[in-house]
Amino acid sequence: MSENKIEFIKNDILDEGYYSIDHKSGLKIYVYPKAEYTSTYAVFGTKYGSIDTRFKRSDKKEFIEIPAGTAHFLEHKLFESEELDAFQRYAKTGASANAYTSFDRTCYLFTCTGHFKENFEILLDFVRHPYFTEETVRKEQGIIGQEIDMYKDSPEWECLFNLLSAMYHQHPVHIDIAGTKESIAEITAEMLFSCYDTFYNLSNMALAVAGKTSVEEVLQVADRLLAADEPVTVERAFKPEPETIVKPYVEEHLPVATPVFCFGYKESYPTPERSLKEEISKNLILDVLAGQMSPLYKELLDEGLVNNSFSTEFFNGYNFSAVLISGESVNPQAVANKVKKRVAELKATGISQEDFETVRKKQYGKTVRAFSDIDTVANSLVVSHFENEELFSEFQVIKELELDYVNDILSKSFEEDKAVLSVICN
Amino acid sequence: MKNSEKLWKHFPRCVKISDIYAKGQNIGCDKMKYTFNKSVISEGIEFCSISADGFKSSCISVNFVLPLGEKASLYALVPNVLTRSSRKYPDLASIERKLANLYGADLIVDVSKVGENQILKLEVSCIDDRFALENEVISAECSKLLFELIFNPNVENGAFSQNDTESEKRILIERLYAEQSDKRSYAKNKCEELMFSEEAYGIHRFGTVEDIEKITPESLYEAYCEILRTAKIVICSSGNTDANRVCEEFKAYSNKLSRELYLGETLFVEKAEDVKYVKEQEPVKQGKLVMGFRMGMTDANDNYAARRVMVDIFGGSPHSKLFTVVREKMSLCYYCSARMIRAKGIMFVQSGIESFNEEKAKEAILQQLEDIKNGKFTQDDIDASIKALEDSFKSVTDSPESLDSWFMSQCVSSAYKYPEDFISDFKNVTKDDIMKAAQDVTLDTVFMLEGTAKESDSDE
Repeated sequence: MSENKIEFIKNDILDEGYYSIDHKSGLKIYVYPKAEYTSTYAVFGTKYGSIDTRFKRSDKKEFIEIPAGTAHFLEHKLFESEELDAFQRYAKTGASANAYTSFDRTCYLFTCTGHFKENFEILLDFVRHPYFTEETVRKEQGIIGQEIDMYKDSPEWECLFNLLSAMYHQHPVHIDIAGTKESIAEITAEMLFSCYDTFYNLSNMALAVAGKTSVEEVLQVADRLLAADEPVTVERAFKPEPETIVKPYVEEHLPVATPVFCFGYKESYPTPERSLKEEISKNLILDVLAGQMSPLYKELLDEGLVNNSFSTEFFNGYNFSAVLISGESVNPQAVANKVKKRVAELKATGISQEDFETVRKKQYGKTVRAFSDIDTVANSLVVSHFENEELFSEFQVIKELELDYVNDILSKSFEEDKAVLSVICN
Repeated sequence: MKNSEKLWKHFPRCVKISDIYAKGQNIGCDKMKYTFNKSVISEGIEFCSISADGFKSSCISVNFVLPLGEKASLYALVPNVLTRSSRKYPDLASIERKLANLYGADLIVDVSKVGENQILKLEVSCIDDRFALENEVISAECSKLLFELIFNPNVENGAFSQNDTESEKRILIERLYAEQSDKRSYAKNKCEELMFSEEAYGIHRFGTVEDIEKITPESLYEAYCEILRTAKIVICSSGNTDANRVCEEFKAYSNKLSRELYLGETLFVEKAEDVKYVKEQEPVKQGKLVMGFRMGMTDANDNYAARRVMVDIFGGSPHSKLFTVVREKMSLCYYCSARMIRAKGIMFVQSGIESFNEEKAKEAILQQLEDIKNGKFTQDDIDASIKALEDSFKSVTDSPESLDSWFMSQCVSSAYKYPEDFISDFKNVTKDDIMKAAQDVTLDTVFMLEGTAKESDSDE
């Protein structure tokens, strides 16, 4: 491609929109200008997360397996360079920079209120120019080892991964995003370069800028700094995951005052990814089932079984999906039993029209509000891109959603033999 | 859009911008898109409005300022019980249903400590009226709801509901316990407790478990009445709202209050005498080292700009000495940062370390401070810190909620300053000023939580 292809996508409810750009380098770029903002937020991401431990490049024949935690390790190492590291460079221009690794992506970001172009140059430059040596990789093993320890002391984090381990036989989602001390010990500089080469190909990445910005200034820098990559696509491969759970109950002992629990139902689908419509429906169901206005929450609260750390989540990504209810309780088993009982009742009656309209209205409000947050907007543009969804389609989905569809989704999930309870207690 | 997600941040649990200005440490913006107004309704009752168009949300908050003291637990529990039920809304479910029907409006309760004051904040935020699907005036409904909850509580015979009181007591106790389970906040709280054993600042914003346990529906109602009588009250309405209407509505309630304003004052201790040291052991993997310092301040405005820049160079950001030297170069800790608490004239350094590195880490941290005292830092370091501060302060103007936090973090003094009021001060800070600010710092207390868990202890 020799020219940039630019399209403006507008939303009438918000009365604003964004530019979707097929950049000539092969990178997808999104620009969401908000003239009234003081800050700009930029995020550069690759569709490469902790679950990508087994894959095949389109130009190679064999599948490769890499140690758990490689994506996160690479994220750490990219900040390094031969001279000033990325943070030292950002320090000169006054941006606040960070990065994160999730199950299915790695993102580098900054936010600033001035010198956008200089900051943006730093972002594009360091993400495109890996530099590390065997020696610096060894040093990082110590730093990340500490980080893993710190998360091991976090009851909520441990509780979630124990739950996932009791749910998933094979899927790498059950392994901590940072890997283990053992797995990261296997990582070498060569391995990191090879992963970089595969996943940091522009055709596997996306860039989004939101806030005080314009297409012109974004493209001025991008045109100059981004050279086209030979497109490589990556095929993810997972060992087959049985529909069954590993075990229904898991417990670990850590110093906690009130036991921490995570209760969830594993779900299996013939296709690897859930649509936005399924996701929204599932969230509405969870709100009716266990949200703060639900009879279940009232009962749990009145009986002293939960506190306001109680929350629900539709947890899903490539080839994994579960509904989760978590919190703190003196009696997690009693909470799980009450949830099961309430699920059965709700399945029998279905969700009422009144409750459906109430949670739908709430969801609409939450969606509107999410657009005032430039970091949510920019990150969502990247996520939507990786999931092949259009950012504004959420409004349409909420508007057109029908109760029958939601009740149908309800009847098919929350299967009792797929339930797992994970508890952290003293 | 995805709201909650599991991810590993490069700086896990780093200080949020909102935390920075919650402590009243601020900087400015180049263009004003909002207007701030303050009026005094009666002695100790103020009404503030931040009017702005274009935001997608609006919010209204009521802030009660009380001296931090032995009634901390009672006061802290009041907002929770007020938002649990009211005369009009018999239970939480009915309040939540109302909020959901207001397009998912958020009702937030926050209890914080600003110097030796305890601030109780009740806030409702909602989407801007222009997004209403049936032309409702959402913001008006929200302020009505908030005032209803505050002024028409579920009270009978001079007592709150037994069920609500007991339930909220339990929840507050569990929150205190949860903070203790989080070793990072436990270590920080413990250091504060030791450092301020003789000062009101040593009191936790929720008080103590023992004090919460003693609360009865009657004593809680008494505390509620006392708050309405004695607290300084500041109402703040932000966004595209009808401020006059909100103000009149509030007056209708507040005019009925009999008032007897009581204000506290924060004690500033300039220098530490001896270094207090306490060590505890816990079966956790990572050790936590917390160091508390006195900054030499006589009040919250005493040479603030230079001190704030100094703290940033020392340990405020990724280019700081604690991050680049102690964490990156020496690999002594996973996190290590310094934070200034302006309203009390103190600074804390918090770090997560391998317990056997305690001495080395302590030495390295103090060495960085020593280096600043002796001028071992560059103009680049100064510029970077001033830019970083400017950046975080400027972004305050991007939402009604952050503007509300910005101005309400100053509600104790009522000397409301705009973010940009601080910028020029920061820009005038010189190397000498920074060295002097560092020379004023004395170490007061060190708390070490030693991790004694081995790899196999907590594995299954």
